[in-house]
Amino acid sequence: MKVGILDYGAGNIRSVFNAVRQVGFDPVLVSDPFELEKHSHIISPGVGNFGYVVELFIEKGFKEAVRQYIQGGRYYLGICVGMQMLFQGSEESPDVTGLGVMQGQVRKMVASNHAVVSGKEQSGGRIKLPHIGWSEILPESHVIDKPCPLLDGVGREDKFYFVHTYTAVPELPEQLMAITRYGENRIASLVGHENTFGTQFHPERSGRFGLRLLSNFCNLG
Amino acid sequence: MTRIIGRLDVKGRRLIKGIQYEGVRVIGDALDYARKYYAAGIDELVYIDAVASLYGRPSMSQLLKDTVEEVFVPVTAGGGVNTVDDVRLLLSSGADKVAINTGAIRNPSLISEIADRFGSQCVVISIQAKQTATDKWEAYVECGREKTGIDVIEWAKEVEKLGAGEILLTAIDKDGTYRGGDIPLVQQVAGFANIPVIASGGIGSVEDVSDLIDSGYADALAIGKALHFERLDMASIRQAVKNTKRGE
Repeated sequence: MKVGILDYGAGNIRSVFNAVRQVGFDPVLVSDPFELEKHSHIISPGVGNFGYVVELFIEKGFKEAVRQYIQGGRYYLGICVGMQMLFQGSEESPDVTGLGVMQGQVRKMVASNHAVVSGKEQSGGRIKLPHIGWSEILPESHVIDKPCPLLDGVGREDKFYFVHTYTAVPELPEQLMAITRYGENRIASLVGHENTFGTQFHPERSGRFGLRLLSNFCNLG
Repeated sequence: MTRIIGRLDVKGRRLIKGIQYEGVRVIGDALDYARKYYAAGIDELVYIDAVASLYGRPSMSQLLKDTVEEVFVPVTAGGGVNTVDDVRLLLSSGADKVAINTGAIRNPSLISEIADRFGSQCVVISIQAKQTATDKWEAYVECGREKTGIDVIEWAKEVEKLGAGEILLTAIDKDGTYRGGDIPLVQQVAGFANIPVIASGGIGSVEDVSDLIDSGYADALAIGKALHFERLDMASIRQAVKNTKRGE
């Protein structure tokens, strides 16, 4: 396995790097698109504004190169905005397009003043944005028949760390692996299509279950 | 859903704690405590450099680098953040978010600059509130040493408009006292803010934990002294959170 982490000038590279090392791999930071082909597994971190991240991607020559890497069938994991970028576009930055590897748009979540979470009243009755915190991910029914390899060893009660205002809305139900509920929002928390995966949450900041998921990814193939 | 955040006020690499921001004492090595809280299942950590703002620059990048090699939950770093470059340094050292107090009060447009560059999710505005009258609090800077004349409630609304992602609200009058949080303060800010509010200061019992959540509407709690001195442990805090109206 040769694990590369995209270093295009945005994102929490260091924490992803450390987390991959912690699970026993020796990752390489990839800042040159021509280096992509040397890797079997690529992780794309991403935080911040969708448009800003896409522009950096274009500037560094990653947009086309990553598309080709993914089409070549190798393993790819997008985290947070890195996951949102797999889709066609985002309400956050309507002037730019995503990678379009998965069908659907990224939309702003709904805040509300009267909300119930997991059957319990939210104190203050509010669902705030950004959504920051630890939440469970609920596998979709097709995943229960054919488990997603990234969730091996992860239980239903295990929580992951989220920080975001927007969420992808996949058009193809088979690409949606798990959802997370936040108020009336149905967050696409884990998506997958062939060897490409995306997590809205941050596995590198999600304690031991996040590390488990990263380990599962790096061990694919 | 309510996050429990370990708050570590540091001087260099040492964990310190005072009472109401005065009479500071050294407790131990900050990294040892960070490790211990991570192992116990803490949701996040906050490092506040207690002396950085005196020198006008953040100085904890090595501590951050060492921390994020072993700690895989979000880490916020604060103290002495005055420029976009300060933020870049802390983020590249491994911080997920930065906490800013003095720098934002001196130059409120710093909040939008950082939010535009790095995203709102990494901007935590730290507000140190000191009560001046019933239902009135003034924002302090320089670790609670200097007053600003700014009204806390107004400032909280302002920072939200400028693009802050979270507010870390410290009740100076309660800090380090174990006498419970400042419920009216937290209620006023967290109940109306549209962004998450982290309540800090005064937590000494599991009842204080539930009160801040159920009556104060806090979205998260930052706990320092009660964790450092093992007055509270994570298991009992989690149980208290679970029993609140909002649930875990």
